[in-house]
Amino acid sequence: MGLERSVEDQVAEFYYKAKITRGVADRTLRTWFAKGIKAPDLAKYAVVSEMYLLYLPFWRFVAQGKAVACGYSEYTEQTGNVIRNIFEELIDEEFIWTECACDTGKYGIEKLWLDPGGESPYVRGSVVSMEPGGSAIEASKRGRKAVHDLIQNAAEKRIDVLTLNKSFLIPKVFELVYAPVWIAHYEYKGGSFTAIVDGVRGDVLGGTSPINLTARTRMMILSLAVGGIMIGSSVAMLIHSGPYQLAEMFQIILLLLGIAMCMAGYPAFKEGKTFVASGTMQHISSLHPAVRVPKLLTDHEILNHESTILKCPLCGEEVNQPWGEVISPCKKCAHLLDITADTVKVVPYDVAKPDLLSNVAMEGVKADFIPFWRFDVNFEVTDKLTGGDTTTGLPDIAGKRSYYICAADIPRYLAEPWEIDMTIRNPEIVEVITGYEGNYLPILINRKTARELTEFLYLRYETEKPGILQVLRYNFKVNEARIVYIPYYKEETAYIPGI
Amino acid sequence: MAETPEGRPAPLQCSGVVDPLIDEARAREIVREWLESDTKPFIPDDKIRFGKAVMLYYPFWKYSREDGGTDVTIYRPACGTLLSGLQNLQRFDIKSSPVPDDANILPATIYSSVYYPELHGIARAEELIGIPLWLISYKVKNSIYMVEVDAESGMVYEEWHPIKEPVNWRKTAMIASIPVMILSLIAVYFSPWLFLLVAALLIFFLYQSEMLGVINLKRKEGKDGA
Repeated sequence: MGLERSVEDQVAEFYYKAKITRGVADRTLRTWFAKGIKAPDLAKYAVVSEMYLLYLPFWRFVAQGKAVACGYSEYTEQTGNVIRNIFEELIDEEFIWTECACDTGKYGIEKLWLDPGGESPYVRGSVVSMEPGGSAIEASKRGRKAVHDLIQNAAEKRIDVLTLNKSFLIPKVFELVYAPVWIAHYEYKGGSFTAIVDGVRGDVLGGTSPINLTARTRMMILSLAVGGIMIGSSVAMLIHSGPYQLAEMFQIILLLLGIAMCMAGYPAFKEGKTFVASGTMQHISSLHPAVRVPKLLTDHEILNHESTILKCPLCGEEVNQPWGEVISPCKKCAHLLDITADTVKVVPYDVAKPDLLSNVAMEGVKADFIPFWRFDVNFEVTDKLTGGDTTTGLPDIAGKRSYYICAADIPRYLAEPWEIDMTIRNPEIVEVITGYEGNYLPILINRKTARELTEFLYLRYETEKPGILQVLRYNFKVNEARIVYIPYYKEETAYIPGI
Repeated sequence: MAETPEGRPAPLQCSGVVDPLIDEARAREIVREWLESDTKPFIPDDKIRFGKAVMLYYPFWKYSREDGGTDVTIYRPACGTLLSGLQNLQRFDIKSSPVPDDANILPATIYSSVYYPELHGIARAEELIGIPLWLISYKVKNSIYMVEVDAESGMVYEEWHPIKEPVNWRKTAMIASIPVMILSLIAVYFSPWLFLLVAALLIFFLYQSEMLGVINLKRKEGKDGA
């Protein structure tokens, strides 16, 4: 996950390989010329002056959205009874936000049309690409906000009045993705036009083209003539209601429909191109591609750092964080270090000793030590209201206890039952004093993210209980956070806990 | 700040730039002449308002090749661009000079090897040079357009520009809607029989505009894919 470091330092870059050749792109373009309400002789007279492959950069932010929303919606029946439906929504989905990182001007390309998967690492200068502009940090903020809004919208879709609304965003990836497109500049009867063909799937993504003038004229005449009849008839009926027994409501609807038809028909058929200039050329000086803004150290940071080289605060060893990990051990003193762009903090940790039963049962098998964040928290519930039948045999996990969040790259469908199980059981951990032989998995979830997952773990647990949760107010206080390596024995695709 | 895990390659630098021979005033004049010319079906020039003019140096790879006994020089853009006319740039006997300190030069982001597969002949030399272009914006009604002028040769590279269409849309809309509106009003107010007149007028419009033939817009694909 390592988002914080990626954004501040350098954004990972990937690109999709082009699968469409120039010939196929040209044929796609010719087919497109003959489709839709374009100039009828476009395919005959259009002359392609340039056609070249270009990679467009896109910011992509992938995050796991988690939210709990409770509340109700009310409606009034014809009898006057107010019916209230209570809802409890649990969102745990992956959300993707993309944004074009360069100015594509009038061609209308704003979002990435390709799904994640199949990308290759991007090597600068190896393909013809547009230079991404703007700040990665700002783009990341926009992405966060957009994804947050998506999560909120998904959670609140059915609920009119919210009584509980908590959402969490767990960032997964923030990267720069380059997508290939074929740019075709073509001329038609004195006009210059451009079309953009997807270099992976071969669809026309956008561009400009002359529209069939005759068809537009005809459509406009028809829509305005029909609209005129509707307006004229309805106005006459409204001012002279004599022989007409139609309801006034119908007359007004007819009038409004006529006005709407005229108002929609005129601009719809007046435009001469498939895409209208969006005005992005207003700031012509900004055509100079903006250089990505590196993180600037503040005066305070400069004063408090002898140099920009990161060192272990305990042994002074220079640390070099492996890419993608957010916490890694010091090579010299083996302490766990939380390395961000400009600070290094020591993270306390324990290693749990496999219990006797698992030692006997799995003799000769090396354990995988999976890191978990253990938060000693005080979860004080001040107010709770649940609708429906709430009878349950599940234990209460509020109050003072330890919460466990898996910090390794383990699929969430596997990790979540472990987290719940250990949070309910709060097992006794027998710590190993001097390390233990085994495979220690890297830590990929930082403390901040794990803290949010802890709160969500409680909320999820409460929503999964019988009944429909409506109100839940609580105080959530973290007393201590540390990493605990728990031994697991891997058998094919399953894991057997060692404690 | 920590060092990045993978070192970035050194940025590409232009070895020189082509001397601009056209100043801003001349560039604007060229654009005005081009917009006023009769070769393009443009809108009347009195509606055009000119905006900023910026001279930018676009980095180009200049490949010198010997192909079939003749020396050829090929130019390819060294940065990604959506502007038209830059892919097949032609230059003969250009004079270059060192890069000025205040030059507004775009960063080169494409290595020379990217274009090797499409080049022919025996490689003799290659260099990265900056070619100056004037980018001039102009406004027509509420839309902003741009035109590029080569600051060395004065050639105009076309971008998307407004086109004067042979239809007066406002007049068409008025003629199509107002007569039928008045006739409908009179017909409903005085006698529904007048609706026959409205219907006749509508059919006349349909007939005149060949509206009935528009419904079938599908065309068969020709042998050449057209």
